[in-house]
Amino acid sequence: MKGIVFTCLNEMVEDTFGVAAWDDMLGQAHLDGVYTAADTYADAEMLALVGAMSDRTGTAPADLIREFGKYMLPKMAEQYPVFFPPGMVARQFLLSVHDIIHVEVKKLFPDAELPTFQYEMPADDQLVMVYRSRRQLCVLAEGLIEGAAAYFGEQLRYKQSQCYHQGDDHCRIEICFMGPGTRGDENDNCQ
Amino acid sequence: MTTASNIHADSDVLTRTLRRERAARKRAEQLLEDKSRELYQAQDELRKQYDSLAETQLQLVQSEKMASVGQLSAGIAHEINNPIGFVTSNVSTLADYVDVLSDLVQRYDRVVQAVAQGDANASSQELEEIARIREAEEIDYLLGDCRKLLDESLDGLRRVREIVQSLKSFVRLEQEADQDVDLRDGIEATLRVVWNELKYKCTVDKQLHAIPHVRCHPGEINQVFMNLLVNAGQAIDKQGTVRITTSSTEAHVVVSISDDGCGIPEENLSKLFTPFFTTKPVGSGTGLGLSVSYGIVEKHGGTIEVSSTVGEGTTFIVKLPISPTMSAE
Ligand code: HEM
Ligand SMILES: Nc1ncnc2c1ncn2[C@@H]1O[C@H](COP(=O)(O)OP(=O)(O)OP(=O)(O)O)[C@@H](O)[C@H]1O
Ligand SMILES: [Mg+2]
Repeated sequence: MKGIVFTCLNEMVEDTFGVAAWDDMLGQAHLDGVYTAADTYADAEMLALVGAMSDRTGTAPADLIREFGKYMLPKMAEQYPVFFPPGMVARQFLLSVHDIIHVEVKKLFPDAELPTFQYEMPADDQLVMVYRSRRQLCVLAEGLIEGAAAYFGEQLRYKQSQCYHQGDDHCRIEICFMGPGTRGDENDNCQ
Repeated sequence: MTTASNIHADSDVLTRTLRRERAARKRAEQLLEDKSRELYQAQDELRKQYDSLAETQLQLVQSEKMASVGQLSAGIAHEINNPIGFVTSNVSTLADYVDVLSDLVQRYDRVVQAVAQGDANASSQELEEIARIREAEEIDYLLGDCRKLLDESLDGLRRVREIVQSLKSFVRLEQEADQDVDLRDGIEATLRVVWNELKYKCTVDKQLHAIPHVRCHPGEINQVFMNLLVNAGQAIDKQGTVRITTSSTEAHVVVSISDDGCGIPEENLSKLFTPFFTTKPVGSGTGLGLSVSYGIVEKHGGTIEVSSTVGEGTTFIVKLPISPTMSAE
Protein backbone atom coordinates (compact mmCIF):
# COMPACT_ATOMS: atom_id res chain seq x y z
CA MET A 1 0.00 0.00 0.00
CA LYS A 2 1.21 3.47 -0.88
CA GLY A 3 2.94 5.56 1.79
CA ILE A 4 0.45 8.38 1.27
CA VAL A 5 -2.21 6.24 2.96
CA PHE A 6 0.12 5.78 5.97
CA THR A 7 1.10 9.45 6.22
CA CYS A 8 -2.59 10.31 6.12
CA LEU A 9 -3.39 7.80 8.88
CA ASN A 10 -0.50 9.21 10.90
CA GLU A 11 -1.97 12.69 10.56
CA MET A 12 -5.42 11.53 11.54
CA VAL A 13 -4.21 9.78 14.69
CA GLU A 14 -2.00 12.71 15.73
CA ASP A 15 -4.81 15.21 15.06
CA THR A 16 -7.40 13.33 17.09
CA PHE A 17 -5.37 11.56 19.80
CA GLY A 18 -2.03 13.35 19.87
CA VAL A 19 1.57 12.56 19.00
CA ALA A 20 1.95 10.12 21.88
CA ALA A 21 -0.94 7.94 20.66
CA TRP A 22 0.69 7.38 17.25
CA ASP A 23 4.05 6.68 18.89
CA ASP A 24 2.34 4.23 21.19
CA MET A 25 0.54 2.44 18.34
CA LEU A 26 3.77 2.04 16.42
CA GLY A 27 5.39 0.50 19.48
CA GLN A 28 2.47 -1.87 19.94
CA ALA A 29 2.52 -2.93 16.31
CA HIS A 30 6.37 -3.27 16.36
CA LEU A 31 6.81 -0.90 13.42
CA ASP A 32 9.56 1.69 12.90
CA GLY A 33 6.94 4.04 11.40
CA VAL A 34 9.12 5.78 8.84
CA TYR A 35 6.57 6.56 6.09
CA THR A 36 7.04 8.56 2.92
CA ALA A 37 4.16 9.25 0.54
CA ALA A 38 5.89 8.00 -2.62
CA ASP A 39 7.19 4.76 -1.13
CA THR A 40 5.29 1.48 -0.85
CA TYR A 41 4.74 -0.58 2.32
CA ALA A 42 3.27 -3.97 3.11
CA ASP A 43 -0.52 -4.14 3.45
CA ALA A 44 0.13 -6.03 6.72
CA GLU A 45 1.60 -2.86 8.27
CA MET A 46 -1.67 -1.04 7.67
CA LEU A 47 -3.65 -3.94 9.19
CA ALA A 48 -1.34 -3.98 12.24
CA LEU A 49 -1.82 -0.24 12.75
CA VAL A 50 -5.59 -0.46 12.42
CA GLY A 51 -5.50 -3.41 14.86
CA ALA A 52 -3.50 -1.40 17.39
CA MET A 53 -5.87 1.50 17.00
CA SER A 54 -8.85 -0.75 17.52
CA ASP A 55 -7.30 -2.13 20.73
CA ARG A 56 -6.75 1.39 21.98
CA THR A 57 -10.17 2.81 21.18
CA GLY A 58 -12.40 -0.24 21.41
CA THR A 59 -13.81 0.64 18.00
CA ALA A 60 -14.18 -2.14 15.38
CA PRO A 61 -11.50 -2.06 12.62
CA ALA A 62 -14.16 -1.63 9.88
CA ASP A 63 -15.57 1.47 11.58
CA LEU A 64 -12.05 2.88 12.03
CA ILE A 65 -11.28 2.42 8.34
CA ARG A 66 -14.57 4.11 7.41
CA GLU A 67 -13.71 7.04 9.70
CA PHE A 68 -10.28 7.12 8.13
CA GLY A 69 -11.83 7.44 4.64
CA LYS A 70 -13.97 10.32 5.85
CA TYR A 71 -10.93 12.03 7.29
CA MET A 72 -8.81 11.37 4.23
CA LEU A 73 -11.08 12.94 1.62
CA PRO A 74 -10.69 16.63 2.55
CA LYS A 75 -6.94 15.97 2.87
CA MET A 76 -6.94 14.71 -0.72
CA ALA A 77 -8.88 17.82 -1.77
CA GLU A 78 -6.17 19.92 -0.16
CA GLN A 79 -3.36 18.07 -1.86
CA TYR A 80 -4.98 17.50 -5.27
CA PRO A 81 -7.33 20.48 -5.85
CA VAL A 82 -7.45 19.74 -9.63
CA PHE A 83 -9.81 16.86 -8.93
CA PHE A 84 -12.22 19.20 -7.16
CA PRO A 85 -12.99 21.97 -9.68
CA PRO A 86 -15.44 24.71 -8.69
CA GLY A 87 -19.06 23.85 -9.37
CA MET A 88 -18.53 20.10 -9.08
CA VAL A 89 -21.07 18.02 -7.16
CA ALA A 90 -20.50 14.82 -5.22
CA ARG A 91 -22.01 12.58 -7.91
CA GLN A 92 -19.71 13.98 -10.62
CA PHE A 93 -16.76 13.63 -8.29
CA LEU A 94 -17.48 9.97 -7.56
CA LEU A 95 -17.98 9.32 -11.27
CA SER A 96 -14.49 10.70 -11.93
CA VAL A 97 -12.69 8.38 -9.50
CA HIS A 98 -12.18 5.43 -11.83
CA ASP A 99 -11.55 7.09 -15.19
CA ILE A 100 -9.75 10.23 -14.08
CA ILE A 101 -8.49 10.30 -10.50
CA HIS A 102 -7.14 6.79 -10.14
CA VAL A 103 -5.75 7.00 -13.69
CA GLU A 104 -3.74 10.06 -12.68
CA VAL A 105 -2.76 8.39 -9.40
CA LYS A 106 -1.33 5.51 -11.42
CA LYS A 107 0.85 7.94 -13.38
CA LEU A 108 2.15 9.46 -10.16
CA PHE A 109 2.65 6.11 -8.44
CA PRO A 110 3.12 3.45 -11.12
CA ASP A 111 3.23 0.69 -8.50
CA ALA A 112 -0.12 1.66 -6.91
CA GLU A 113 -2.60 -1.18 -6.75
CA LEU A 114 -5.91 0.53 -7.30
CA PRO A 115 -9.43 -0.87 -7.08
CA THR A 116 -11.76 -0.85 -10.09
CA PHE A 117 -15.14 0.84 -10.09
CA GLN A 118 -17.94 0.25 -12.56
CA TYR A 119 -20.78 2.69 -12.59
CA GLU A 120 -24.52 2.41 -13.09
CA MET A 121 -26.83 5.39 -13.20
CA PRO A 122 -30.37 4.17 -12.61
CA ALA A 123 -31.68 7.74 -12.07
CA ASP A 124 -30.43 11.33 -11.99
CA ASP A 125 -30.09 11.29 -8.22
CA GLN A 126 -28.66 7.80 -7.97
CA LEU A 127 -25.34 6.12 -8.59
CA VAL A 128 -24.21 2.54 -8.21
CA MET A 129 -20.50 1.91 -7.72
CA VAL A 130 -19.47 -1.67 -8.30
CA TYR A 131 -16.21 -2.13 -6.39
CA ARG A 132 -13.64 -4.80 -7.07
CA SER A 133 -10.30 -5.21 -5.34
CA ARG A 134 -8.13 -7.93 -3.95
CA ARG A 135 -7.94 -5.86 -0.77
CA GLN A 136 -11.71 -5.92 -0.17
CA LEU A 137 -11.62 -2.44 1.38
CA CYS A 138 -15.23 -1.46 0.60
CA VAL A 139 -15.53 0.25 3.99
CA LEU A 140 -12.75 2.63 2.95
CA ALA A 141 -14.81 3.47 -0.13
CA GLU A 142 -17.82 4.05 2.12
CA GLY A 143 -15.81 6.46 4.26
CA LEU A 144 -14.51 8.31 1.16
CA ILE A 145 -18.09 8.57 -0.14
CA GLU A 146 -19.25 10.02 3.21
CA GLY A 147 -16.24 12.35 3.14
CA ALA A 148 -17.20 13.49 -0.37
CA ALA A 149 -20.75 14.29 0.78
CA ALA A 150 -19.36 16.39 3.64
CA TYR A 151 -16.84 18.09 1.40
CA PHE A 152 -19.44 19.10 -1.21
CA GLY A 153 -22.00 20.03 1.47
CA GLU A 154 -24.52 17.42 0.33
CA GLN A 155 -26.72 14.79 1.89
CA LEU A 156 -26.55 11.25 0.64
CA ARG A 157 -27.39 7.75 1.64
CA TYR A 158 -25.82 4.51 0.54
CA LYS A 159 -26.16 0.82 1.13
CA GLN A 160 -24.31 -2.25 -0.08
CA SER A 161 -26.64 -4.75 -1.73
CA GLN A 162 -23.72 -7.07 -2.44
CA CYS A 163 -20.41 -7.31 -0.58
CA TYR A 164 -17.21 -9.38 -0.48
CA HIS A 165 -17.84 -9.80 3.21
CA GLN A 166 -21.24 -11.38 2.47
CA GLY A 167 -19.69 -13.95 0.15
CA ASP A 168 -20.24 -12.04 -3.11
CA ASP A 169 -17.45 -11.63 -5.65
CA HIS A 170 -17.73 -7.84 -5.67
CA CYS A 171 -19.29 -5.03 -3.67
CA ARG A 172 -22.26 -3.06 -4.97
CA ILE A 173 -22.58 0.34 -3.32
CA GLU A 174 -25.91 1.96 -4.15
CA ILE A 175 -25.87 5.70 -3.50
CA CYS A 176 -28.77 8.11 -3.41
CA PHE A 177 -28.12 11.87 -3.52
CA MET A 178 -30.49 14.15 -1.68
CA GLY A 179 -29.06 17.48 -2.67
CA PRO A 180 -27.58 20.25 -0.56
CA GLY A 181 -29.22 21.00 2.79
CA THR A 182 -32.35 18.84 2.32
CA ARG A 183 -33.09 16.53 5.21
CA GLY A 184 -32.73 13.00 3.96
CA ASP A 185 -36.00 11.70 5.39
CA GLU A 186 -38.34 14.26 3.72
CA ASN A 187 -38.30 13.76 -0.08
CA ASP A 188 -36.63 10.41 0.11
CA ASN A 189 -37.26 8.17 -2.87
CA CYS A 190 -34.44 5.79 -2.05
CA GLN A 191 -35.42 2.35 -0.94
CA MET B 1 -1.85 17.14 36.39
CA THR B 2 1.59 16.94 34.83
CA THR B 3 4.11 14.77 36.62
CA ALA B 4 7.84 14.77 36.07
CA SER B 5 7.77 11.29 34.51
CA ASN B 6 5.02 12.39 32.11
CA ILE B 7 7.12 15.27 30.88
CA HIS B 8 10.05 12.92 30.52
CA ALA B 9 7.93 10.44 28.52
CA ASP B 10 6.68 13.29 26.30
CA SER B 11 10.18 14.36 25.40
CA ASP B 12 11.07 10.73 24.56
CA VAL B 13 8.04 10.57 22.30
CA LEU B 14 9.04 13.82 20.65
CA THR B 15 12.59 12.62 20.12
CA ARG B 16 11.34 9.40 18.51
CA THR B 17 8.85 11.33 16.39
CA LEU B 18 11.58 13.71 15.27
CA ARG B 19 13.86 10.80 14.34
CA ARG B 20 11.06 9.16 12.33
CA GLU B 21 10.33 12.42 10.54
CA ARG B 22 13.99 12.89 9.70
CA ALA B 23 14.31 9.31 8.45
CA ALA B 24 11.15 9.75 6.38
CA ARG B 25 12.50 12.96 4.88
CA LYS B 26 15.81 11.27 3.98
CA ARG B 27 13.92 8.45 2.37
CA ALA B 28 11.82 10.97 0.40
CA GLU B 29 14.94 12.77 -0.76
CA GLN B 30 16.47 9.51 -1.83
CA LEU B 31 13.33 8.60 -3.80
CA LEU B 32 13.50 12.00 -5.46
CA GLU B 33 17.12 11.45 -6.42
CA ASP B 34 16.29 7.99 -7.77
CA LYS B 35 13.47 9.48 -9.82
CA SER B 36 15.70 12.25 -11.17
CA ARG B 37 18.31 9.72 -12.17
CA GLU B 38 15.68 7.51 -13.81
CA LEU B 39 14.32 10.53 -15.64
CA TYR B 40 17.76 11.45 -16.88
CA GLN B 41 18.40 7.90 -18.07
CA ALA B 42 15.00 7.72 -19.72
CA GLN B 43 15.67 10.96 -21.53
CA ASP B 44 19.08 9.74 -22.58
CA GLU B 45 17.53 6.51 -23.83
CA LEU B 46 14.87 8.47 -25.72
CA ARG B 47 17.49 10.59 -27.44
CA LYS B 48 19.39 7.47 -28.52
CA GLN B 49 16.16 5.91 -29.82
CA TYR B 50 15.38 9.11 -31.66
CA ASP B 51 18.80 9.18 -33.28
CA SER B 52 18.56 5.58 -34.36
CA LEU B 53 15.06 6.20 -35.74
CA ALA B 54 16.35 9.11 -37.77
CA GLU B 55 19.12 6.85 -39.06
CA THR B 56 16.63 4.10 -39.93
CA GLN B 57 14.46 6.58 -41.76
CA LEU B 58 17.42 7.66 -43.82
CA GLN B 59 18.12 4.05 -44.75
CA LEU B 60 14.47 3.51 -45.61
CA VAL B 61 14.46 6.44 -47.98
CA GLN B 62 17.59 5.04 -49.57
CA SER B 63 16.13 1.57 -49.93
CA GLU B 64 12.92 2.96 -51.37
CA LYS B 65 15.04 4.60 -54.04
CA MET B 66 16.75 1.29 -54.71
CA ALA B 67 13.42 -0.52 -54.85
CA SER B 68 11.99 1.90 -57.39
CA VAL B 69 15.17 1.63 -59.43
CA GLY B 70 14.74 -2.16 -59.36
CA GLN B 71 11.09 -1.96 -60.34
CA LEU B 72 11.93 0.38 -63.17
CA SER B 73 14.95 -1.41 -64.54
CA ALA B 74 12.69 -4.32 -65.54
CA GLY B 75 10.49 -1.93 -67.51
CA ILE B 76 13.45 -0.13 -69.00
CA ALA B 77 15.15 -3.36 -70.02
CA HIS B 78 11.99 -4.14 -71.97
CA GLU B 79 11.94 -0.71 -73.59
CA ILE B 80 15.54 -1.09 -74.70
CA ASN B 81 15.34 -4.77 -75.67
CA ASN B 82 12.59 -4.19 -78.18
CA PRO B 83 14.51 -1.81 -80.49
CA ILE B 84 17.72 -3.75 -79.95
CA GLY B 85 15.83 -6.85 -81.11
CA PHE B 86 14.62 -5.46 -84.39
CA VAL B 87 17.84 -3.57 -85.11
CA THR B 88 19.73 -6.85 -84.70
CA SER B 89 17.39 -8.67 -87.07
CA ASN B 90 17.54 -5.82 -89.59
CA VAL B 91 21.32 -5.85 -89.53
CA SER B 92 21.47 -9.61 -90.14
CA THR B 93 19.04 -9.22 -93.10
CA LEU B 94 21.22 -6.40 -94.40
CA ALA B 95 24.24 -8.73 -94.15
CA ASP B 96 22.45 -11.25 -96.43
CA TYR B 97 21.56 -8.42 -98.82
CA VAL B 98 25.21 -7.33 -98.92
CA ASP B 99 26.20 -10.91 -100.00
CA VAL B 100 23.71 -10.80 -102.89
CA LEU B 101 24.76 -7.29 -103.90
CA SER B 102 28.49 -8.00 -103.81
CA ASP B 103 27.90 -11.11 -105.96
CA LEU B 104 26.14 -8.83 -108.49
CA VAL B 105 28.97 -6.28 -108.36
CA GLN B 106 31.48 -9.09 -109.21
CA ARG B 107 29.34 -10.10 -112.17
CA TYR B 108 29.20 -6.49 -113.43
CA ASP B 109 32.99 -6.39 -113.11
CA ARG B 110 33.20 -9.44 -115.33
CA VAL B 111 30.93 -7.75 -117.93
CA VAL B 112 33.20 -4.72 -117.91
CA GLN B 113 36.28 -7.00 -118.44
CA ALA B 114 34.59 -8.95 -121.30
CA VAL B 115 33.60 -5.71 -123.04
CA ALA B 116 37.16 -4.44 -122.65
CA GLN B 117 38.51 -7.67 -124.22
CA GLY B 118 35.91 -7.38 -127.00
CA ASP B 119 34.35 -10.71 -126.01
CA ALA B 120 30.72 -9.90 -126.97
CA ASN B 121 29.59 -13.47 -126.39
CA ALA B 122 30.85 -13.64 -122.81
CA SER B 123 29.48 -10.22 -121.93
CA SER B 124 25.99 -10.93 -123.22
CA GLN B 125 25.99 -14.30 -121.42
CA GLU B 126 26.98 -12.62 -118.16
CA LEU B 127 24.34 -9.92 -118.69
CA GLU B 128 21.66 -12.57 -119.16
CA GLU B 129 22.80 -14.24 -115.92
CA ILE B 130 22.67 -10.85 -114.16
CA ALA B 131 19.15 -10.23 -115.41
CA ARG B 132 18.12 -13.69 -114.17
CA ILE B 133 19.59 -13.04 -110.74
CA ARG B 134 18.04 -9.59 -110.54
CA GLU B 135 14.74 -11.23 -111.27
CA ALA B 136 15.19 -14.16 -108.86
CA GLU B 137 16.56 -12.11 -105.97
CA GLU B 138 14.05 -9.27 -106.47
CA ILE B 139 16.93 -6.81 -106.44
CA ASP B 140 14.68 -3.77 -106.90
CA TYR B 141 12.69 -4.78 -103.86
CA LEU B 142 15.87 -5.59 -101.98
CA LEU B 143 17.31 -2.14 -102.63
CA GLY B 144 14.11 -0.51 -101.40
CA ASP B 145 14.11 -2.78 -98.38
CA CYS B 146 17.68 -1.82 -97.53
CA ARG B 147 16.62 1.80 -97.17
CA LYS B 148 13.65 0.78 -95.04
CA LEU B 149 15.72 -1.48 -92.78
CA LEU B 150 18.34 1.21 -92.35
CA ASP B 151 15.77 3.91 -91.51
CA GLU B 152 14.05 1.58 -89.09
CA SER B 153 17.35 0.65 -87.42
CA LEU B 154 18.41 4.27 -87.10
CA ASP B 155 15.05 4.97 -85.54
CA GLY B 156 15.48 2.10 -83.07
CA LEU B 157 18.95 3.28 -82.10
CA ARG B 158 17.61 6.80 -81.64
CA ARG B 159 14.98 5.38 -79.27
CA VAL B 160 17.60 3.58 -77.22
CA ARG B 161 19.58 6.79 -76.98
CA GLU B 162 16.46 8.68 -75.88
CA ILE B 163 15.68 6.17 -73.15
CA VAL B 164 19.22 6.36 -71.84
CA GLN B 165 19.04 10.16 -71.92
CA SER B 166 15.67 10.18 -70.11
CA LEU B 167 17.09 7.93 -67.46
CA LYS B 168 20.02 10.26 -67.07
CA SER B 169 17.86 13.35 -66.79
CA PHE B 170 15.50 11.41 -64.50
CA VAL B 171 18.17 10.57 -62.00
CA ARG B 172 20.38 13.59 -62.71
CA LEU B 173 23.24 11.93 -60.95
CA GLU B 174 25.65 14.53 -62.23
CA GLN B 175 23.94 17.48 -60.52
CA GLU B 176 23.41 17.22 -56.80
CA ALA B 177 22.66 20.89 -56.19
CA ASP B 178 19.26 22.55 -56.45
CA GLN B 179 18.53 24.31 -59.69
CA ASP B 180 15.74 26.22 -61.38
CA VAL B 181 13.83 23.88 -63.64
CA ASP B 182 10.67 23.70 -65.70
CA LEU B 183 8.78 20.85 -64.04
CA ARG B 184 7.27 19.91 -67.41
CA ASP B 185 10.68 18.58 -68.50
CA GLY B 186 10.82 16.42 -65.39
CA ILE B 187 7.30 15.17 -66.04
CA GLU B 188 8.15 14.26 -69.64
CA ALA B 189 11.36 12.48 -68.65
CA THR B 190 9.54 10.59 -65.89
CA LEU B 191 6.74 9.61 -68.27
CA ARG B 192 9.27 8.05 -70.63
CA VAL B 193 10.75 6.10 -67.74
CA VAL B 194 7.42 4.75 -66.44
CA TRP B 195 5.92 4.39 -69.90
CA ASN B 196 6.17 0.63 -69.81
CA GLU B 197 4.08 0.52 -66.61
CA LEU B 198 1.35 2.68 -68.07
CA LYS B 199 1.10 2.02 -71.79
CA TYR B 200 -1.07 -1.11 -71.73
CA LYS B 201 -3.81 0.22 -69.44
CA CYS B 202 -3.72 3.97 -69.55
CA THR B 203 -4.40 6.82 -71.85
CA VAL B 204 -2.17 9.62 -70.65
CA ASP B 205 -3.80 13.02 -70.98
CA LYS B 206 -1.20 15.76 -70.66
CA GLN B 207 -2.39 19.29 -69.96
CA LEU B 208 1.03 20.80 -69.46
CA HIS B 209 0.44 24.55 -69.37
CA ALA B 210 3.43 26.89 -69.19
CA ILE B 211 4.61 27.34 -65.60
CA PRO B 212 7.31 29.37 -63.85
CA HIS B 213 10.51 27.61 -62.86
CA VAL B 214 10.83 25.86 -59.53
CA ARG B 215 14.02 25.60 -57.53
CA CYS B 216 14.49 21.97 -56.66
CA HIS B 217 16.58 18.86 -56.77
CA PRO B 218 15.27 17.51 -60.09
CA GLY B 219 16.13 13.88 -59.36
CA GLU B 220 14.13 13.92 -56.17
CA ILE B 221 11.14 15.76 -57.59
CA ASN B 222 11.05 13.32 -60.50
CA GLN B 223 10.97 10.51 -57.97
CA VAL B 224 7.79 12.08 -56.57
CA PHE B 225 6.19 12.20 -60.03
CA MET B 226 7.26 8.65 -60.63
CA ASN B 227 5.64 7.42 -57.42
CA LEU B 228 2.40 9.25 -58.19
CA LEU B 229 2.30 8.01 -61.79
CA VAL B 230 3.06 4.41 -60.85
CA ASN B 231 0.38 4.51 -58.14
CA ALA B 232 -2.11 5.97 -60.62
CA GLY B 233 -1.33 3.20 -63.10
CA GLN B 234 -1.66 0.55 -60.40
CA ALA B 235 -5.03 1.97 -59.32
CA ILE B 236 -6.43 1.33 -62.79
CA ASP B 237 -7.64 -2.21 -63.23
CA LYS B 238 -8.33 -2.62 -66.96
CA GLN B 239 -8.46 0.59 -68.95
CA GLY B 240 -8.40 4.18 -67.78
CA THR B 241 -7.02 7.66 -68.04
CA VAL B 242 -4.22 9.35 -66.16
CA ARG B 243 -4.39 13.11 -66.42
CA ILE B 244 -1.39 15.29 -65.65
CA THR B 245 -2.03 19.02 -65.35
CA THR B 246 0.35 21.87 -64.61
CA SER B 247 -0.73 25.34 -63.55
CA SER B 248 0.44 28.08 -61.25
CA THR B 249 -0.80 30.44 -58.59
CA GLU B 250 0.75 33.61 -57.20
CA ALA B 251 3.44 31.75 -55.29
CA HIS B 252 3.24 28.12 -56.36
CA VAL B 253 3.52 25.77 -59.27
CA VAL B 254 0.75 23.18 -59.10
CA VAL B 255 1.05 19.70 -60.59
CA SER B 256 -2.01 17.53 -60.40
CA ILE B 257 -2.00 13.83 -61.24
CA SER B 258 -5.42 12.20 -61.40
CA ASP B 259 -6.65 8.78 -62.33
CA ASP B 260 -10.07 7.24 -62.77
CA GLY B 261 -9.00 4.10 -60.92
CA CYS B 262 -10.30 2.32 -57.83
CA GLY B 263 -10.14 5.31 -55.45
CA ILE B 264 -9.18 5.31 -51.76
CA PRO B 265 -11.61 4.58 -48.91
CA GLU B 266 -12.12 7.45 -46.48
CA GLU B 267 -10.55 5.58 -43.56
CA ASN B 268 -7.27 5.09 -45.48
CA LEU B 269 -6.80 8.71 -46.49
CA SER B 270 -5.14 9.71 -43.24
CA LYS B 271 -2.71 6.76 -43.40
CA LEU B 272 -1.48 7.16 -46.98
CA PHE B 273 1.67 9.06 -46.12
CA THR B 274 2.63 6.77 -43.25
CA PRO B 275 5.68 4.60 -43.97
CA PHE B 276 4.77 1.00 -44.84
CA PHE B 277 1.09 1.71 -45.35
CA THR B 278 0.14 -0.36 -48.37
CA THR B 279 -2.93 -2.20 -49.62
CA LYS B 280 -0.91 -4.01 -52.26
CA PRO B 281 -0.12 -7.70 -51.92
CA VAL B 282 2.99 -8.75 -50.02
CA GLY B 283 6.05 -8.44 -52.22
CA SER B 284 4.47 -5.96 -54.59
CA GLY B 285 4.29 -2.72 -52.60
CA THR B 286 6.51 -1.64 -49.73
CA GLY B 287 4.22 1.25 -48.82
CA LEU B 288 7.08 3.71 -48.88
CA GLY B 289 6.32 5.57 -52.12
CA LEU B 290 4.03 8.21 -50.70
CA SER B 291 5.84 8.66 -47.39
CA VAL B 292 9.09 9.28 -49.21
CA SER B 293 7.34 11.61 -51.68
CA TYR B 294 5.83 13.52 -48.78
CA GLY B 295 9.25 13.98 -47.23
CA ILE B 296 10.75 15.21 -50.50
CA VAL B 297 7.96 17.71 -51.17
CA GLU B 298 8.05 18.97 -47.60
CA LYS B 299 11.82 19.43 -47.84
CA HIS B 300 11.23 21.64 -50.89
CA GLY B 301 8.80 23.82 -48.93
CA GLY B 302 5.80 22.43 -50.79
CA THR B 303 2.68 20.45 -50.01
CA ILE B 304 1.11 17.29 -51.31
CA GLU B 305 -2.63 16.72 -51.01
CA VAL B 306 -5.01 13.99 -51.98
CA SER B 307 -8.70 13.76 -52.70
CA SER B 308 -10.42 10.58 -53.71
CA THR B 309 -13.78 8.91 -54.22
CA VAL B 310 -14.04 5.16 -54.17
CA GLY B 311 -14.99 3.86 -57.61
CA GLU B 312 -14.38 7.21 -59.30
CA GLY B 313 -10.69 7.95 -58.89
CA THR B 314 -8.01 9.88 -57.11
CA THR B 315 -6.22 13.19 -57.51
CA PHE B 316 -2.89 14.06 -55.98
CA ILE B 317 -1.92 17.73 -56.01
CA VAL B 318 1.71 18.75 -55.53
CA LYS B 319 2.42 22.43 -54.88
CA LEU B 320 5.97 23.75 -54.97
CA PRO B 321 7.11 27.32 -54.39
CA ILE B 322 8.03 29.30 -57.49
CA SER B 323 11.78 29.91 -57.71
CA PRO B 324 12.77 33.18 -55.97
CA THR B 325 14.57 34.36 -59.09
CA MET B 326 11.33 33.96 -61.07
CA SER B 327 9.12 35.84 -58.64
CA ALA B 328 11.71 38.61 -58.33
CA GLU B 329 11.33 39.37 -62.03
C1 HEM C 1 -8.52 12.88 -5.03
C2 HEM C 1 -9.09 11.73 -4.76
C3 HEM C 1 -8.40 10.40 -4.64
C4 HEM C 1 -7.08 10.07 -4.71
C5 HEM C 1 -5.89 11.03 -4.95
C6 HEM C 1 -6.96 8.66 -4.50
C7 HEM C 1 -5.74 7.97 -4.45
C8 HEM C 1 -5.61 6.68 -3.99
C9 HEM C 1 -4.36 6.04 -3.67
C10 HEM C 1 -2.97 6.67 -3.78
C11 HEM C 1 -4.64 4.79 -3.23
C12 HEM C 1 -3.60 3.75 -2.77
C13 HEM C 1 -3.29 2.71 -3.78
C14 HEM C 1 -2.21 1.75 -3.26
O1 HEM C 1 -1.89 1.79 -2.09
O2 HEM C 1 -1.65 0.98 -4.07
C15 HEM C 1 -6.07 4.65 -3.29
C16 HEM C 1 -6.71 3.51 -2.92
C17 HEM C 1 -8.09 3.42 -2.89
N1 HEM C 1 -8.99 4.33 -3.38
FE1 HEM C 1 -8.62 6.18 -4.03
N2 HEM C 1 -8.19 8.11 -4.38
C18 HEM C 1 -9.11 9.16 -4.44
C19 HEM C 1 -10.47 9.07 -4.30
C20 HEM C 1 -11.15 7.90 -4.05
C21 HEM C 1 -12.57 7.81 -3.87
C22 HEM C 1 -13.55 8.99 -3.89
C23 HEM C 1 -12.85 6.48 -3.66
C24 HEM C 1 -14.16 5.78 -3.44
C25 HEM C 1 -15.30 6.23 -3.58
C26 HEM C 1 -11.60 5.77 -3.68
C27 HEM C 1 -11.46 4.43 -3.42
C28 HEM C 1 -10.26 3.84 -3.11
C29 HEM C 1 -10.14 2.57 -2.44
C30 HEM C 1 -11.31 1.71 -1.95
C31 HEM C 1 -8.78 2.31 -2.28
C32 HEM C 1 -8.11 1.13 -1.55
C33 HEM C 1 -7.35 0.17 -2.42
C34 HEM C 1 -8.18 -1.00 -2.84
O3 HEM C 1 -9.41 -1.05 -2.58
O4 HEM C 1 -7.60 -1.89 -3.50
N3 HEM C 1 -10.58 6.66 -3.93
N4 HEM C 1 -6.63 5.80 -3.80
N1 LIG D 1 -3.79 6.79 -57.09
C1 LIG D 1 -4.16 5.93 -56.13
N2 LIG D 1 -5.37 5.31 -56.18
C2 LIG D 1 -5.76 4.44 -55.22
N3 LIG D 1 -5.00 4.11 -54.14
C3 LIG D 1 -3.81 4.72 -54.02
C4 LIG D 1 -3.32 5.65 -54.98
N4 LIG D 1 -2.10 6.07 -54.58
C5 LIG D 1 -1.85 5.44 -53.42
N5 LIG D 1 -2.86 4.62 -53.09
C6 LIG D 1 -2.96 3.80 -51.87
O1 LIG D 1 -1.97 4.21 -50.96
C7 LIG D 1 -1.14 3.12 -50.58
C8 LIG D 1 0.26 3.62 -50.29
O2 LIG D 1 0.90 4.07 -51.49
P1 LIG D 1 2.47 4.08 -51.53
O3 LIG D 1 2.89 4.58 -52.86
O4 LIG D 1 2.99 4.81 -50.33
O5 LIG D 1 2.85 2.57 -51.34
P2 LIG D 1 2.61 1.36 -52.35
O6 LIG D 1 2.28 1.88 -53.71
O7 LIG D 1 1.62 0.42 -51.72
O8 LIG D 1 4.02 0.65 -52.36
P3 LIG D 1 5.38 1.23 -53.03
O9 LIG D 1 6.32 1.34 -51.88
O10 LIG D 1 5.76 0.21 -54.01
O11 LIG D 1 5.07 2.56 -53.64
C9 LIG D 1 -1.27 2.14 -51.72
O12 LIG D 1 -1.02 0.81 -51.29
C10 LIG D 1 -2.72 2.33 -52.14
O13 LIG D 1 -3.59 1.61 -51.30
MG1 LIG E 1 3.50 3.40 -54.65
